[in-house]
Amino acid sequence: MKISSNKLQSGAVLIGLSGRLDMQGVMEFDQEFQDIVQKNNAIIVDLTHVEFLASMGLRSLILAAKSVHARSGQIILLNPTPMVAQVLQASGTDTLIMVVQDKADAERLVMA
Amino acid sequence: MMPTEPVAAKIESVTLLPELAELVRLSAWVDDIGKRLEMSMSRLYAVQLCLEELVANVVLHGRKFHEAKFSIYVELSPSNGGLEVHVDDSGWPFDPTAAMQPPRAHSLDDAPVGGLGLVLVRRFAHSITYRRDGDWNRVTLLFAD
Repeated sequence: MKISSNKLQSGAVLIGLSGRLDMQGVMEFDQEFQDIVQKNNAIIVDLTHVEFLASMGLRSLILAAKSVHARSGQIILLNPTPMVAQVLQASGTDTLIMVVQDKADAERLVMA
Repeated sequence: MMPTEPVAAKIESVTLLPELAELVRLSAWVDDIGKRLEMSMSRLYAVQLCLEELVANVVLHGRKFHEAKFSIYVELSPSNGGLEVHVDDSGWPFDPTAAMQPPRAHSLDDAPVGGLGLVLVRRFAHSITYRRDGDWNRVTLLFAD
């Protein structure tokens, strides 16, 4: 499980996750992830390289979204693979956190 | 030329300790079998997901108060193009088919944190059955096209 973050020109922060968002993966990245989330109000979480998402990963994403939402910020999930998108849909998470496929769209929406 | 033998529908099994670290071993084991059986990507994902959720549940909640040790037995058995998956454990009695489904949240504010594991199992397996057999919980999942 790897995590990276960088500030985009618009001011939004792009968090890139890669690997498996399962129990083991979440234990490895969650602390750093929630720390970055705490410090930013416009967040794009790039899921392009997340090959597996299970309920512990959903828990982590929902926790982050609740925290950003409580500060009136925005969080958007970017470009999940078809199977990861299916997990987001089956769990109803895609009705709580916006999911978009295109980075430019994500940046525009997160800054709106 | 050697005649091609049909691939036998072999039953595969693994016994796990009730520890979170075992989830990594489980996932590698399933991956290996999936590749050997030439499972589709979506089938392999569904099996991985359901096993991760069920076994994590058992590891986190299955331990009996006075009994430190118990075991988890996972079996994969291909049948008629489908796959039958058994998860047996000798932990605290728990029927995942009777567990309450959390209500669907309409906003982030009322969204529960967690509790989505069994929701995913119900959606990704074609069927789930449970029986209590002596000291064992026996869960059977069916995956079919």
